Amino acid sequence: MTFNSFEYAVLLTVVFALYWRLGRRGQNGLLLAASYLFYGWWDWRFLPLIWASTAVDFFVARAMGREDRETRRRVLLATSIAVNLGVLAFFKYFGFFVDSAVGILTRLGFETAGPTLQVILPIGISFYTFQTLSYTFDVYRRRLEPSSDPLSFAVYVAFFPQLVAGPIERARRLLPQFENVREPIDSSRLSSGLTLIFIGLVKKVAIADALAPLVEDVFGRSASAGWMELTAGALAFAIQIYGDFSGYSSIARGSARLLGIDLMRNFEQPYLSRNITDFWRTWHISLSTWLRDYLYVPLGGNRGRTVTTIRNVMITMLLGGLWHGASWTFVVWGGLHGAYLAVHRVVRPVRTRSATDMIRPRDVPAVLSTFALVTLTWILFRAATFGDAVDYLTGLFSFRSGPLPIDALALLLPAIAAILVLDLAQRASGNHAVILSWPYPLRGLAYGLGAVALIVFSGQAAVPFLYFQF
Amino acid sequence: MSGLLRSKALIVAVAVLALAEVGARVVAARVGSPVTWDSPYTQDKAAQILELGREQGGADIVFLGSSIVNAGIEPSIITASLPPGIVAYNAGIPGSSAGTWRVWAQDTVYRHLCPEVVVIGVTVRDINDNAPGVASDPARYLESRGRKAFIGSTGQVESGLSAIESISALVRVRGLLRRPVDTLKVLTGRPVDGWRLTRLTEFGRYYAFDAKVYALNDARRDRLRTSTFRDFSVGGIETAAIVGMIDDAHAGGAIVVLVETPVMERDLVPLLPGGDADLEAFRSVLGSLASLTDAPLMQFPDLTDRDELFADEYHLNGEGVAIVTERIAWMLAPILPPTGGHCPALQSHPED
Repeated sequence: MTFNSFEYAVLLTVVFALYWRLGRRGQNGLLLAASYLFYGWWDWRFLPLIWASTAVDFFVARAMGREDRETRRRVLLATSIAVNLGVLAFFKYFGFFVDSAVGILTRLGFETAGPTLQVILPIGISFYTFQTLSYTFDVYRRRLEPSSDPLSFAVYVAFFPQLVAGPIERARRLLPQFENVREPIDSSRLSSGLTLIFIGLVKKVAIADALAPLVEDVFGRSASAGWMELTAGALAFAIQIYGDFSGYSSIARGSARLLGIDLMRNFEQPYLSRNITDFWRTWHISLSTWLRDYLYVPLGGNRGRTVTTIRNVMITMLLGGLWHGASWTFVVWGGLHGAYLAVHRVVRPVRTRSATDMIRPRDVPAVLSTFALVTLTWILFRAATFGDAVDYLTGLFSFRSGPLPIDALALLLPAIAAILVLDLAQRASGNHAVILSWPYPLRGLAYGLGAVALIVFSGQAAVPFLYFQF
Repeated sequence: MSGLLRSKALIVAVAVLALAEVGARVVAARVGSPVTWDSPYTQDKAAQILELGREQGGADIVFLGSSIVNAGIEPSIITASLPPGIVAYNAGIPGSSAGTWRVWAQDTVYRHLCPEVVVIGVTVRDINDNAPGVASDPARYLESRGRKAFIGSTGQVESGLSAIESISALVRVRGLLRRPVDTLKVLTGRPVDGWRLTRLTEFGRYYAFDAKVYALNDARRDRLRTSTFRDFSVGGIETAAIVGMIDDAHAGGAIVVLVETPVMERDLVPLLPGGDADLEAFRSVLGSLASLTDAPLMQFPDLTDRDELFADEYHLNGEGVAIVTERIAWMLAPILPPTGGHCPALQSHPED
């Protein structure tokens, strides 16, 4: 059940219709049932994993809350980490580590065959694992009291709008919302929730999915496509992944808002960033802040010498790359971003502006340079193998001859324009549901054009949300 | 005040939708019925097969395969060479893979034409298990709305969509509107893509392909090398699909003939990642497949170096079509049973 499916529309409508007639516990019970239904729709066999993760972290945190001895608290924390990361490592990285080990042994001259085990990746496992881990980390650090309400905690782990692709919420922010009585929904929350869903659907269906066949085609022909096609393909993927993931996050936030829950912003117009540091402050914010708080800072952050800081940045970004998928292309992608961040850390001027400040005309070269760097690095992220990525970059930088991809540009340019207009409007207003603040002719035009785009681009072969695979 | 503004915005949004509907109607007036199958080819041929089944009770000889069969075998030459009354139909689907052939044959050919002889044409292009679309094409075919309507398994969602399409041109022609350049071509009266340049004959063949679409050029070679023949591997799911097709035909009482349609070896072999070894692997699999299913295998080793018979690496031109089809007719003559009533009654569909 994806957000752009008929089934999800029915689920959300039914839940919304019942939800506001219930009390707090009834609401939580309904959310939990809907969340397990939502997840089980993909594969009910993986529901026990969520239940196990929920139970372990709930009871570990309770025990931690009662325990004063530091050694015992550490053992409890290690239990939670071992269970959560153990499950993640088995389901997501088993094949990767076995294949890598076999590859290394073979290169060293040892003929060996690793254990063959086809492991299916449970959808959303990277997201909910990190979310529950943040809870035990915060309880361990005494920044959060352990929850005494198992129902609220179970909803916090499994809340369906953000279960399978985030935002990766912190318990400190989200859990109290389930533990307390929700404010009744008013017309303002209703319209902003619906507008966020509408914007997310347009980004997903009319922008990301519209570009998906173009991306598929060009990346499938990376060894033969001309440089203009390769440029269009790389740009199309940059827009596709942003439209897809930020669209998902927007629908998640809109759906949650209809249920009286506020989810954090996961994107803040990242392609308007003036430098790579700003990009990572505005792209997949819930993951980058998680990595900052639970990995980079405990490693020492930027408190030591520059060399130590760079080491910490590289470790964080390499593991961030690996979080995306069990493949060396993701690790190198993360490593490259780590290198960019390290270089920027060394050469950047004193920080005077926020990452979300409105860009000025003189920022345009910096914005375009950052976007170009990010887009080139996406090639590694999207390519199936290193060989494909090398073919792609070789064709691009050798200016391999090929036709002007007019069909591709006819889709790509309007998509870029739509994203740019929306991002600039959101950045200027600081409001993701910015359409609501526009004068009525403009608002009507936006709704009308969005509806036309949704009609035209819906009904194609379903393209799964890209981040579901992580 | 906000309610008033909301209703005014709604009026503007509805006006935009109405304007888009008017524009879509202009486009719709210039194009034919929308494609509801996985391709215009299956859509056109399914309609023709239905009509052939109704009017003539079926066909004696049916040809199945990809564009290589569609473009390479001319049924009118077959019927002219055989006793009067023989009905032959070319059900080859351009751009398709063997996995699709099997379900296509079950849905249409075996059910509505009840052939006595099924000729399956295969080349090295057709059974690469790693070719693009091998996994997704059959699913796309099976899920297409046109196909579901054809076999009578339309769900409520599809029925609802059909109803909306009958009202709204915006929904009806959205497949075309997703391609802005093609939409512009339609509006300026230019042909949109390959299939519109061709004509479907009464024998089921799009005959203008060889001249208009199939030609040797570098871009095509690159595509074959990097896409069609990439990670070349035979003997897996595509071969299994052909075995299934043969078993289905045998179960319906038909004789099956396998034909390895000729390819221009000098141009094609260098495009295969393993060169000659890949071609030999293909031929070995085809031979095993024929033995396994007791289907006679027809080959044309003497034509593979006659470049003048080909439009491109594996599509025959007019002269090549005539030679190959005449030889197939000659081969079929002794094995063709007397013509009968074809489909005595509409057979049930496997999904029924």
